[in-house]
Amino acid sequence: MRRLILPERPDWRDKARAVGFGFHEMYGEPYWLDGAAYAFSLAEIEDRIEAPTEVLHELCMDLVAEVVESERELRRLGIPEAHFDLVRNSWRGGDRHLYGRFDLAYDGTGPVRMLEYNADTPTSIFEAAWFQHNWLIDQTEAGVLPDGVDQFNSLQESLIEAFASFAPDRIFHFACWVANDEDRGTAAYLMDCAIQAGHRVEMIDIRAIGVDAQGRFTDRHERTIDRCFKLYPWEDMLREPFAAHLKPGVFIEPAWKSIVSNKGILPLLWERHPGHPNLLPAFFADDPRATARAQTVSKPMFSREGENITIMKNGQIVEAAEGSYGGEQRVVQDFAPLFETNGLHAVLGSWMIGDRPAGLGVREDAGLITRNLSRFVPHFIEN
Amino acid sequence: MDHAKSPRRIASKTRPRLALGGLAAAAGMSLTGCDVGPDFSQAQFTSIGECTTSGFSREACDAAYNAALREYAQSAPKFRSKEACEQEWGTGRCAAPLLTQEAGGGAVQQGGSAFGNVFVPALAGFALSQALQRRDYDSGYIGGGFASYGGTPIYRNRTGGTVTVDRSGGKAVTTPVNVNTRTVSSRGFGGMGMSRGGGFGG
Repeated sequence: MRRLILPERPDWRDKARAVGFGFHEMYGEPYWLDGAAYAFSLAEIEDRIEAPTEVLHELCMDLVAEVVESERELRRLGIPEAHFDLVRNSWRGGDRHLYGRFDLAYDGTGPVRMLEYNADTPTSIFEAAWFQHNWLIDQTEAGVLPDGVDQFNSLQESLIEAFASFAPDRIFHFACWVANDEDRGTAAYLMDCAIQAGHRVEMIDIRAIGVDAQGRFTDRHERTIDRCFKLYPWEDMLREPFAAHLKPGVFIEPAWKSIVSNKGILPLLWERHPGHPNLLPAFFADDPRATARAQTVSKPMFSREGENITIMKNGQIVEAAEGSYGGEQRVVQDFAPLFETNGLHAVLGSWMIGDRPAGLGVREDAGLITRNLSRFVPHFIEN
Repeated sequence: MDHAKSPRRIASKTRPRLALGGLAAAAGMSLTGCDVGPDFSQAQFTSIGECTTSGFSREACDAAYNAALREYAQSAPKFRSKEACEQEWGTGRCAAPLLTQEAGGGAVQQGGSAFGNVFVPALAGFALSQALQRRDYDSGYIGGGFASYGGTPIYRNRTGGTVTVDRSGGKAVTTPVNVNTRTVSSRGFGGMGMSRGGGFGG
């Protein structure tokens, strides 16, 4: 892995705007970086990223199978007791999942380490799957990259294939927080993939979902919602007024993803696989072992976008991120160094589509905590 | 893995396409996303309880009820005798209003003083205007700011049907309306997101 500076595509901003990638700048800062790239060898991609990603996904699936059978573990993960059956039945009934993104720490030499699994509401899929892929083709055509360079990216084909595994027998709704550009863009991109897989689709604001007299979810035309992608966290849905109407088989990601996306799985995985090369030591914050570590990262069970994460060194706070996820149970994970170039820290976003690793997106941040101000940097595989 | 034998190509050499050409088109909506919100259709209720169980906030329901009360005090069809009123509205449907209570406690109208020595048909319900519904939706669980909305009182006519009353050329004209027809309740999801300011991807 190495970081390069390249000439940016002169028209990349127009290209971004033309496809509605309005969030290539966010909060007044560039979000997509066109004039830089991370380069990997094929062996590095296959052996150090792709293969461990699949292994980690399997560990997580095994954990879900175990946790759904254990009220104790469901409770440790903060799943509301009233919805144990929903989570259980969505797993036992084989509710299909669509995608997830592992955030991996990799310093360029050792094994990748799982920081977390964004298995419920991952974003940055459009950048990784579509815009990054076009970047590769443009830069190859322009001669900036040599012919034959590759990218760890079969994301769009895999997404279309995954959507095709759902029967196109009903409207596929896409619910998200519509006022948020990034969330809406993510849902819109996935919706486009669903169209390419033959589905009839409809976008709906998460707050516009209704319930009819029979307790079925309805859209704004009062049609029932029978299949719905939702870019909204399960941990919230399980605690909101309509939770009472939730049934397995409707939402994607399915309810069992509330286990995987939960940072409480980090200590559970470590308990079951201590010393695994792709896992970091992790403990619930109230575990005495949590305080005995030299350098750690403390995270709320459910935070998004790096919020409320604290990095500790020998009991002192090194870096802390503000946020709106306070007051919850926390987990403490060993600190893992990230790949660093001139003070820029890169996190690998390794994507699972269904049960297959399918691509990579790299985000970098000047700080140690990758936040919503991080920048997306394209990558390629060197010959 | 053996890399020497079969050089593997991962990314397609052809560009990924977008069926609808772009993200905004795919969403089929304006940039603000207004078009994907709920459809604010007619919403009429005979009680605040009906209103809240239909998914509206207590604040919005109270505001609609209070606004209807104020409008009722001003514009309810007035009759000089109970008989005259009942002839129009049906037996037992009229009274000299004594006290009307605002939701939340305060009495706004002492019947005798507000109406004079008159008889009026009883208030049977209230409408939640589309403007108020939108305000309620936009404000989410934060609430507030409903005081300025106009109200629509609902009456029960001779045959028991629910109607609104408009004035046309000094004459009261009734229009039938349905009450409690809104079987779809919404906003059961999104409250926790609202409390964090929206935006959930990670």
